Amino acid sequence: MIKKLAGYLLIVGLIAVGVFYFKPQENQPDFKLQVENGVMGVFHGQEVMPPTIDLAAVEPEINVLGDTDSMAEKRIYIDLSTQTLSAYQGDSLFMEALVSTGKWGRTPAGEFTIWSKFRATRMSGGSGSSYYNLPNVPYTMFFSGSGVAAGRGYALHGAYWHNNFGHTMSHGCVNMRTVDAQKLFQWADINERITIYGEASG
Amino acid sequence: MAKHQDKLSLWLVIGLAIVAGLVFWWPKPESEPIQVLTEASPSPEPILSAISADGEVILKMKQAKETETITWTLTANQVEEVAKTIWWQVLSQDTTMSIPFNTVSPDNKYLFLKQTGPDKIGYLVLTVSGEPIIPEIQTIEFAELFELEYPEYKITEVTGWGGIDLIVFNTDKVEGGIGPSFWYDVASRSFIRLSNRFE
Repeated sequence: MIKKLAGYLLIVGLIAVGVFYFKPQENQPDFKLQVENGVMGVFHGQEVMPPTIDLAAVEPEINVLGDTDSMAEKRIYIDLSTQTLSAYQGDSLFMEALVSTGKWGRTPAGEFTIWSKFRATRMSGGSGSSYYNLPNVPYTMFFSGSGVAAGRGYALHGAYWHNNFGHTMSHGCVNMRTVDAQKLFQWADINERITIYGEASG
Repeated sequence: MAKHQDKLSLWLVIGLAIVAGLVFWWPKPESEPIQVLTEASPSPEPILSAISADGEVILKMKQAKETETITWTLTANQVEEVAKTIWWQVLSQDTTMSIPFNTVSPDNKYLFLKQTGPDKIGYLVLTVSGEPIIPEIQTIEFAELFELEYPEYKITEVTGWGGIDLIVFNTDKVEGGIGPSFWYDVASRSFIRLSNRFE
């Protein structure tokens, strides 16, 4: 009897762990480059026109100020309590920006790495009044780690549907002003490390 | 008997799993809101120039001091275009204008400004193009409209744009305590009370 009970508990436990680990985030991206110019998006009941993406356009060059050791490790830090992102190369600050992390879904804290980058992709998810379906999400950098599988769809990316940075506003991703996301996207490589810490206040 | 016990334990485990699942996935209550700085910027000082979130629009506020007044002038331009004056106002010397960090709407159509006077703070909405926001009306001062419609609340912070034409702001209760967040819908010129706060 006890053995059987333990067996059942083990099975339920394994299923729970599996569901937790592989549960898709509310955000369900396509994990591919996807440019859909002229297609309207939806964010929380409002129609929104995405920016036009021109893959042939020349991106502006990054100007790195100060003494930067180009061989030094790059690190990205996101403080959930202040809703800020800081990017360092070695000890040199490359950029600092206000971001918007999870309001309708939690942004995970921990150590992560960027596993893929796309100039633009589509993201959809949520339900009811918080439903969203957004083409041309610019400068998307997906990350995984700290028990968060790549398939969960967490990413740093530009956000063109709101301008409320410095305040929680996402379904779990890290929203950035497009102008900041572009700068980070050009600077950060695949496998760059991200540390997310602190606790958002709302 | 043993078979009956097996079934019972199976149902017990399923029940436990359902309860655990509900506890795990049930939405967590909003944490206690805290007061944050009025200007949402890495540098919380009021700013006199700003760029839209997509980098396309550049705003600059200039001031010309006279004996008793200051003339405030706001210019806007698209990148690589000539700046155009889109708003100006003569104010007493004890009143200042500033550009909040999240000033421009996501579609670059509208912007809002903060006006800090000796005894009140106002928020002006205007168009980035400089065209009247509604026929024959150049700007809307929504803090005053809000005070008339919701006298029981006072605006504590205007955080930015929650959507294409939705300005987000937080309030306190006039009699003390934290109030709800609201949207000011610029398109319909109406206030929408929200069920949660934008901290």
